[in-house]
Amino acid sequence: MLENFKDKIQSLIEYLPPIPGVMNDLIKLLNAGNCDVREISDLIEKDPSLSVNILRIANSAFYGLPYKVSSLQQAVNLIGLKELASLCMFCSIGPALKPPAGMKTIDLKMFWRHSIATGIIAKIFCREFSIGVREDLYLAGLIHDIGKIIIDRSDHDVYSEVVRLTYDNNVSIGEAENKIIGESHSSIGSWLLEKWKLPRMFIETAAYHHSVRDASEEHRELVAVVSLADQIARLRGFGFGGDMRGTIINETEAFAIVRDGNPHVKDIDLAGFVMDLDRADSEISELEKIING
Amino acid sequence: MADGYKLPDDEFNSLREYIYKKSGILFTGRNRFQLEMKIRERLDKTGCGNIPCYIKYLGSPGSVELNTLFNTITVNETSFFRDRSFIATIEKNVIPEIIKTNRALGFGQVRIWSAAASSGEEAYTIAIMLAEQLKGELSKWSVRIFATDINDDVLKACRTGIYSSYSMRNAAPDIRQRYFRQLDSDRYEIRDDIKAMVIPGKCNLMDTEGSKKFNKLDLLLIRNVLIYFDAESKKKVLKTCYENLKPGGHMFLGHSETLFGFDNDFKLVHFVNAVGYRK
Ligand SMILES: C[S@@+](CC[C@H](N)C(=O)[O-])C[C@H]1O[C@@H](n2cnc3c(N)ncnc32)[C@H](O)[C@@H]1O
Repeated sequence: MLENFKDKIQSLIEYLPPIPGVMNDLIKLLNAGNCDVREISDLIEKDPSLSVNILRIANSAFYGLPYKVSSLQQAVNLIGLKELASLCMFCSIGPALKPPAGMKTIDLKMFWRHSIATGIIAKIFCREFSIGVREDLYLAGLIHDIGKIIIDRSDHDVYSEVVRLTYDNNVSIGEAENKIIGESHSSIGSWLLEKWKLPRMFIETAAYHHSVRDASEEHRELVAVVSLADQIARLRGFGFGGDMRGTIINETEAFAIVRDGNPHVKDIDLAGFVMDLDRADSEISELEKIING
Repeated sequence: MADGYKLPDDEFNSLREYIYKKSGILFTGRNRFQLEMKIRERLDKTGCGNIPCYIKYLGSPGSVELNTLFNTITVNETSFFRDRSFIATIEKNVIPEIIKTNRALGFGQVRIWSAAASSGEEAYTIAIMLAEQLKGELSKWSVRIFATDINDDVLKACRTGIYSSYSMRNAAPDIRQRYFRQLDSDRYEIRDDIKAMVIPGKCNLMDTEGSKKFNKLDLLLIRNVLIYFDAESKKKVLKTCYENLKPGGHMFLGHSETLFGFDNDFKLVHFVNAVGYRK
């Protein structure tokens, strides 16, 4: 195990680019949850590339809106204030974490693909099986693994070693991380999101998607759904990080928690659900295009 | 012209009833035409003018016509390394686990059953993958891969271990090179040590008693065959499958087949783009 890796990571987080200005205001708004449509669209308009991205997402298959949206105000009205704010946040995270030119990194394209797939699968899962968690949970899916980027930024060779160990020894990524760096991407991700003062739901998803029981009661079900979606995305071939293990999904902690709140989930056709996820593919690639812009 | 093949409804019904009873294979309105085409040939060859006569002939003492009928009506499509994600799962997850558990037990014994093996490509594929991972240890292990089918024509092909390049189309070039010997322009014979692992035999999956000897299995492949059965026969076969596996052993169905809707004790295991069932 590497000595002092934790200190290194923590100082890295100190030095990470601060949260972009617009985002900071948005997060305040997200946490408070009361402001009007004008206020938020004015805020977003200050950042032209953000505005463009928001309109593109609003018009994508992801929302399947009945007609084309051409102004931010319209988008806010249709998608809702909170959702839009979260969306902006997601759009800003990518650029905020962009590595300096020439730096060696993990395959960021695959990384975001996995994250997006997780978010979208979480959404589809809830819709299909009538699980009543908040509609914007997919945003939590989108940033659940953010800690991996931080570890990789701090030492790419070390993270490559983690991925290799995971694949070769058929162990979980958390196990490999603990063995090599003594910390997991879960805690590291949550430190960053805490520093950025994101709403609890995001911090907890990052922190507990591999140990769902530790989440607070308030957010446990949502974290569980994201955790399931994370597994399913991997098992659908949208994997990232070398984990190839088989999983008995309905014996996982996450599944048990979702089932506790939604007893009908016990009888769902899990094999069929995972096999038929082709329908998520176009949404995934559309969102991917926008994010990688 | 197609009309010439058509059977009267009552004849079709009694034939399909008979086939179903003997093999579990269910012909429905959807695949009726296929059965009618195929049966025409048998009626001609046996000189039976109609189905009642043919059924009587099938049951006459010493008749081998039932075999011939099975050989005629089964669909035997198969190939080496069929279905990429299934193969990847066997290679990455299943075989390493089999090797690990059996090694821990202190004996190098492996028992695998390819039920509905057709001409054996599936069984030999598994044998090759085992050889790849056991390497030098292979000769010290006792590996038995039972390859059974109801159709004895395809079993003949399985026994010879000779295949065309078409059936090897999904095998990597270096696998073809190391495990096959080219006999002539398009015939390739599988290596002797691989052949020695595979034990071909006839087994009708409806025959519960006869299926019992393929027991204590580490792995059971029953791929692309349950689709021909109705719910009742499936249930019966799956019960035998469960019993025949060792605790912790895996069963795999065809790519888009699942056990959903069947009362069973298997645990559903998701692998990357493949599902398996664990006892
Ligand atoms: C499409 S092949 C599958 C071959 C191989 N398992 C694969 O997936 O590539 C189906 C096989 O099932 C066999 N079959 C059909 N009914 C059967 C029965 N009742 N008992 C045993 N085999 C049967 C057929 O003869 C045929 O060879």
